[in-house]
Amino acid sequence: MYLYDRKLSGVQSKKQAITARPAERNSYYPDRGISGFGGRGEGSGSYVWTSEGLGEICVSPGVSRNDPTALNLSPVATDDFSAPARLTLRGTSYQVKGNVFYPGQSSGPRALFNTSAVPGGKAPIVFIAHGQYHTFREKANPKHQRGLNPEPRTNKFEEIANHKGFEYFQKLLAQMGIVSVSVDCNELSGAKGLRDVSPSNTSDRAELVLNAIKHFQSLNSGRDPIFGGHIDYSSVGLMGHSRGGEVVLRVAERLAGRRDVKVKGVLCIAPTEEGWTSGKPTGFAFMTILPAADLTNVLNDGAKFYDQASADPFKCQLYVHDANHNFFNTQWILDDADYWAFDAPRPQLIQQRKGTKVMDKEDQKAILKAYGCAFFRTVLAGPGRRLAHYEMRKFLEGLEIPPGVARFRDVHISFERTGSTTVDDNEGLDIRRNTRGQINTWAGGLTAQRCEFALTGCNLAKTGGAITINKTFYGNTRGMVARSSLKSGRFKWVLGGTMDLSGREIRIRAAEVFDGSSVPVGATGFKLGLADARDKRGFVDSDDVGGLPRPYDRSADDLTIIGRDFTKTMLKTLRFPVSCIVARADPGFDPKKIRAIVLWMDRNDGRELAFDQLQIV
Amino acid sequence: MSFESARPGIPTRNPGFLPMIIDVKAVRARYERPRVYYLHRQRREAREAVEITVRTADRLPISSISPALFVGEVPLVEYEGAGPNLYRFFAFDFAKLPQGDPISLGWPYLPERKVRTNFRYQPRGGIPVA
Repeated sequence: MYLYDRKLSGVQSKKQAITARPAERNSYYPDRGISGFGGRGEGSGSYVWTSEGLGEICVSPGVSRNDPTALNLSPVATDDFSAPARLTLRGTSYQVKGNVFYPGQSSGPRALFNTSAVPGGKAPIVFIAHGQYHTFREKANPKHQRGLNPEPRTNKFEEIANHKGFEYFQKLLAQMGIVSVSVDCNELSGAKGLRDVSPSNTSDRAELVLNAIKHFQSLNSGRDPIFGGHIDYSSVGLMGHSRGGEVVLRVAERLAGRRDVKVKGVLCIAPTEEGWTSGKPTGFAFMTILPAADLTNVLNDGAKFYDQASADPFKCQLYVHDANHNFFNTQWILDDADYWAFDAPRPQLIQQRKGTKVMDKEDQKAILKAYGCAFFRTVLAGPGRRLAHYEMRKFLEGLEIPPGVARFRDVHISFERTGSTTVDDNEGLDIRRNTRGQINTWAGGLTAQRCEFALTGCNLAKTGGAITINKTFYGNTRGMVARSSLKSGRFKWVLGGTMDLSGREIRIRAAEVFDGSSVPVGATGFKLGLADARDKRGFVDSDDVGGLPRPYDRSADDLTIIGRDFTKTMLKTLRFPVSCIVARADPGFDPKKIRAIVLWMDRNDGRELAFDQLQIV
Repeated sequence: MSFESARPGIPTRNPGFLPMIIDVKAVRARYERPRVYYLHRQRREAREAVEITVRTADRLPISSISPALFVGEVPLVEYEGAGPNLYRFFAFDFAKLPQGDPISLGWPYLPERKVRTNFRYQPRGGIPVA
């Protein structure tokens, strides 16, 4: 698939659509190293012939030649650690322990630190917190798992090393010059003892991680033969899964303002949100990976963190269809659906998923590896470090697809970074005013309202028409829901004066709204465009920039296993390059004098669409 | 409510396989050393609480999100294991617990589907008991 003229309606009359020219397939982003278009990129894009030649592209991202997992600077060494002092929390004593992977002079346990792999002999460090899970499994039947050892006097059960479930990721970090420490929280997992399962243990786990940080600080500042003087505490990353996701956010907040530890980025995988943080990740880059087929944390709480997170320096959310809660951790071998039944334990009640086919364990690992490496390589890059010799943020921003995950069509990215111009974040109550203080107007059969995008539903007073209000969303923000009864429905955001948008992108978070009953057959979409000072216009279809995300239908599994359907609306960021709009605009359209951004709901299918965070980037 | 389905092969609709409650005891406890707990991220200390000890037909599921004991519609999420299939829930703000309301097990995100019991929360002689 090179060049094609799919969905060039409205273009061919103005510009000449061209046929494939293989030699030019990579000519658009020579600096990006894009190797072609496949996977998610394939079949969703178009090129147009402009007066300057073949120079415009409206396309969902292509697959990169650069693999964020591929940086290999060092052999990988490892060790287990155990801090000399025990940690006492609320009257109970815990051991601070876990494993560590690091760049070594040779592979294997306790090799000396490879100082040549990192500039100045100092490496950034990532601390990892696993989630709440069983702590024992039957040797002969590993799927039989328990929170306590049911037969401690026999050798029938073995401990589940929950903290070792991310070794596949730790090894990648180590070979690219990043130390990673996975903290063993098993003493606070399962059902071993007091305060083991109630949510207060999130706070206790955070203390455990903080003490692991302290322990490695002492190794770094002391004369430890491996780590002494080799850890850069001004470049610290945190990663947590499930309850561990909330734990590392709490850790980051506890460390805020500390001079001796600077958290640069926090990655939360399917995190819980039980109130142990401010709920507003701030002061570091934030990323969350949300498995759409999560039957454990069914509320996809990480979406709330994303919505409330600061975009300084950036925030990113991956909503991954067909991914489950458990498979990111290799020790968690049960799919979420089976997990409940085994836990009961009622193996005869094992539920077969009926509505979703969960992706393979290796596939989920591939997603964490690709995007997790891109994230930490971005946030932990420093002077002289080769982590970001290629701009890894492109993967997080959706500009390119890592080659290892191109086969997954439904990894929906939301992304926002500092320095963008926000046109409308919908936080104000009056939909007639946008964030720039200018007016919003709508016409042509379109109705719109602002409301809370939250589990509680779209519940503000409607404005301008009949829109149902019982829709619910993942996340925690305010946005706009619009519907058009005609093909002519338009919504216009006035910018105030004119703006030169040459070379810029218009970005908007958008989704098809789940109507609370069923997901209709076939996708829908919209057009987004610009109006210049003379009201000449150009539009690009959402299908040409990757497509509007559809609700992930989880009703069959939810109703069978949980008893309530948690299918909800989830937005993603769509990118509309102004150059692409220009290529499809009226003759004489001037991108240097833009007065308004225009939404055109042209499908006439009666469906509601959700929008938020309209920005110029 | 039982784990088992009414008919063979038909799975239970009990969300998350919460076990049935077979016994409930509540005592008002006073602590010589203040008991530490957290409410909305704030560390708090309590000198007294109502401890509601629940015996279940099977163990509570181990999950990223913890189940809760509901007194009426009030969820109690702070608890600890007290023995096999025995769990001690803590009500630190017990003055607000609605007397006579049913006790249920459920998930905080699914309050409408909590597993109801015939046990009720009722104070006797000035000391709340279930």
